Amino acid sequence: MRPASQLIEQGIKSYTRGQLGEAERYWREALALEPLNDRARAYLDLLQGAPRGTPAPAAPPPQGAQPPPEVQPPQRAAPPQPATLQQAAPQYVAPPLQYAAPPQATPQYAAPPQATPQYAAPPQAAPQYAPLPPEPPPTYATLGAAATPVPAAGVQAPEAPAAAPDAAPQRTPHRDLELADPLVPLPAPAGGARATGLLAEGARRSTLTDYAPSPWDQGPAEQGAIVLEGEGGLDLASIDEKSDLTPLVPDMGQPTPPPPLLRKPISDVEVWMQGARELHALGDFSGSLEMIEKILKLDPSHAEARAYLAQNEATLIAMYESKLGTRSNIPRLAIKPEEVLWLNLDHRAGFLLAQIDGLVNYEDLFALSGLPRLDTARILATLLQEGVIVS
Amino acid sequence: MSELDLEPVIGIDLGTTNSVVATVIDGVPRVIQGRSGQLLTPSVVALAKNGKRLVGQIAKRQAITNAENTVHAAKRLIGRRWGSKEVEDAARILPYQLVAGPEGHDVRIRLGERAYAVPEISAMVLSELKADAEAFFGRRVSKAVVTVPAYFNDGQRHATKDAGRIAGLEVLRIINEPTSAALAYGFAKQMEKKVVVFDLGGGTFDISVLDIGKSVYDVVAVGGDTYLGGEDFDRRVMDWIVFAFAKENAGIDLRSDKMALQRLKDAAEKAKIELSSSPATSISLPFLVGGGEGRPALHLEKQLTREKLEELTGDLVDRCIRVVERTLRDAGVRARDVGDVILVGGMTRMPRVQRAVREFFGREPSRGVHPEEVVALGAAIQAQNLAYPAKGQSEVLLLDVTPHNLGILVVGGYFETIIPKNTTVPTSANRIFTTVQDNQTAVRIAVLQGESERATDNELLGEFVLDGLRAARRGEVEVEVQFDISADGIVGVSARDLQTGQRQSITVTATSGLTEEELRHILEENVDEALERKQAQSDFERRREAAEAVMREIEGLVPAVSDALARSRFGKDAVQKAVGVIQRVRQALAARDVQSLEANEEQLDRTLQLFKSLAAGGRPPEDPR
Repeated sequence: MRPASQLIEQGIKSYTRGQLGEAERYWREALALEPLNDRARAYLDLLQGAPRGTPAPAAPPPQGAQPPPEVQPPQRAAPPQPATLQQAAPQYVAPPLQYAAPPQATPQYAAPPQATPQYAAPPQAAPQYAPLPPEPPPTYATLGAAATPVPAAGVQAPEAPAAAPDAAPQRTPHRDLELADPLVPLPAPAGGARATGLLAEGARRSTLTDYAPSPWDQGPAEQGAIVLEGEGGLDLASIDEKSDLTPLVPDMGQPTPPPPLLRKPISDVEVWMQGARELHALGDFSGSLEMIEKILKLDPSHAEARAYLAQNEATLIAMYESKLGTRSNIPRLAIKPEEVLWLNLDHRAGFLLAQIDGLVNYEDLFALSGLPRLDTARILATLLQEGVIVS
Repeated sequence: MSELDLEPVIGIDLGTTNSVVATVIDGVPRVIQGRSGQLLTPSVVALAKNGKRLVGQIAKRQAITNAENTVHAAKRLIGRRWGSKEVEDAARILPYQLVAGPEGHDVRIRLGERAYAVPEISAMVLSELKADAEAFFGRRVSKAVVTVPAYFNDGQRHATKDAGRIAGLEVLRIINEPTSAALAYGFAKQMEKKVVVFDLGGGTFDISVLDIGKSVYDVVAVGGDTYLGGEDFDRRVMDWIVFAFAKENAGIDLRSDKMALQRLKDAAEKAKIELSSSPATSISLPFLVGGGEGRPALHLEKQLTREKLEELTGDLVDRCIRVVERTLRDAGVRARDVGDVILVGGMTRMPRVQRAVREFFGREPSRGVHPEEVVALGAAIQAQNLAYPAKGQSEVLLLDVTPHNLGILVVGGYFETIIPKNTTVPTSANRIFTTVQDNQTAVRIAVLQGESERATDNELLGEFVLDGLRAARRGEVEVEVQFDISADGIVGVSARDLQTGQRQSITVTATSGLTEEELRHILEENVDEALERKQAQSDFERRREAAEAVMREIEGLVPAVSDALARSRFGKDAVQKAVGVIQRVRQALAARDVQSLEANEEQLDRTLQLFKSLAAGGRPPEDPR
């Protein structure tokens, strides 16, 4: 029988393939094996779209699995040190009235404090807003901490999952809650948005009511007169004065309010990214890479994904190459040439196999394959493992 | 002094597609096997996708999958001028990028981030051959004779010589390929006859007629087709397979998959070679191309008969024979006057080619020497003769001919030949010209070579102005133009006003395209690289000694450690692990694999520390379980 962790990974993979039913089956099996397994429960919760405040857990890294130190997604929020957060957060939450939305349009969703940079006012926003501190590079420790969601109001904070040994100190959920209160009229979904990034397809989706009501929803406004200047340009100030609507362009001298705080739907990219982090931490670099590749197809400039890509690739190359032994070794066909037809290979493996003639060594094969080094190493390691070649 | 004490010299056939290195051992010429056991080294240089520079067979094997960074047939470009017809023709078919040199005169080849002069590329092939020879002799080799086609002009020869210098070789002489082949045949024989050298190589076809007397080799005619060779035969086989495969597999075009195409090319060449010795062969390429839409990869299984190959390539053989016909006609030589036909180049092993030659000349071609090796063997003989002339033996005299017409530009943009092609050098000739305008006091003498009547179609070798002419009506001033070609192939041109005696002249000095400054810079770079290699070698030796010492120490501690472990529940496999580490280090040392050595050195040191501690009564490592 497969261990629960393996079933959970299988579930993640199924999920990323869009096979939600299969994913659910795997996670249920995992839960059946280990009823107290938080990870399995968290995934199931997310899948069912019933946020109960159960966090998407971050597994502790397995022994020997090195975190990617170069993971520095600039747009990602890293949990600041508590002290910094305490100073910055009140300044941040204070000015919701500066927003264009009417008072009742108070954003119904507040990102957890550690996720605020995503929704924070831009730097040119109201001067009284203290700009958020620059995001520190999310080392593995910060990633582990970021995976800890901020519990929603009224929800008992779950037991924090084990973080990496060098993880940042865990913040007190209660303190966070206080800081977040003014902006958190609705409970944050389990796992949060940016904090955990893990919100399953079937999880609760944002609806229009989740967002700040738009002024446009209040019925048609009187059309403001458009005043043409002598030069024929639009007088925006005039439009502003004569319109009932909150101006889109603020008056000069007034601080530019931050854009309306909209709840950003959890995307597949975020789910995959979280999956990639977890699989990486579990030592499943291939699985992590698979997810990273999916992300980069959609968003080739995704900084964290690129960092994980490099790390996963480097780790996998090292793993496969270690199976090959010394790169100056010369591989040879271990089966009869006519038996090659009975193998189950793709054309790239067929190409590489055709280059193995008992004269070229592994290093030369890497050079002449024309394939990425990882693919070459993976194919050669597989051929070696399956006894097709010997070295 | 015994032969073993003499500095070895080599002969190199620097071919368009393949190169060969040979030497003379105990008076017998022999080809030097490469370090991988091959006799032929493909004249291919590449910058692999992983940044590694590849030369020879390994570069050839990725020539299609990495076409834009793989240089083959550099010989077509060596010593050529940027913008010349030959370069434009080559640029149309070569997948790699050609750029103009800094002065805009010569051709450079872009390989990765850098543009290389053609002699630099050829030097990489020569370096590979030199290294093979050094591995064979076990010591440094620095002197060589290098062969070039008989039609190479002075610039091309000069560039080839520069390639030798860059490779660290003193080129004792550049000799013509047909001459070299004939030399290999005439070695130790006293033949006096007219010989035709039929050279069908990988990329070019050359035909030469030589008059061989006692120790005198006189090239009397040359001809050929620079775009006809073994690769054209391979392409016919490939096309046949591609169409058959498409027919059988719902139109899948193998040419659209570079990996499939690379395998196909290798298989086509192999099949063609096999069909020279057997009537049929099978081409088996499993998992050649993806089946598409998740279907399994497709295999290619095909039988090719010699008959079919001959049907596919018959017109190419006929083309060769037409070139032979034309060359002999131009040289005034009848087929029946030819005393021997020497076959050169791997393609001449093809029975259909041999049959065509036999039918044309009415005699069996010579088969005494391997056609791929014969040119290099001749070069090796010549190198030996030059480096260590035998007492009492007259020096072999190699007489060459001018491969092209030499002349000047005349009014109307025409080309006036002064020395026709196939004239044996050294030679000289003159012609008298007149002015075309009244009171013309200066004339421009543009020296050209080529076969076209139009001056612009020929290659400009140099030009000068003769001024100070007597002012007179047009046609009254007579100017004598004289051409001299020395035995070394140096062309001198002078012009003289016959009335005043006013004279101007130039010596057409060939350039390889590389300035002396550039050449010096490249040579210095090579010296730096050599020093780095030497330093790396010395570092490696130091680390080898250190690793050997640690391994000896570990092995010495094994009995004590085994005793210590026998008393413990843990660490039973410590010795086994140590053996594994030692084995990996030994493998790395044997393969001179620095990276692998680095990866294991630390573990070796840790093992030693652990063993020392155990032997001194320390605790064994705890079982991680």
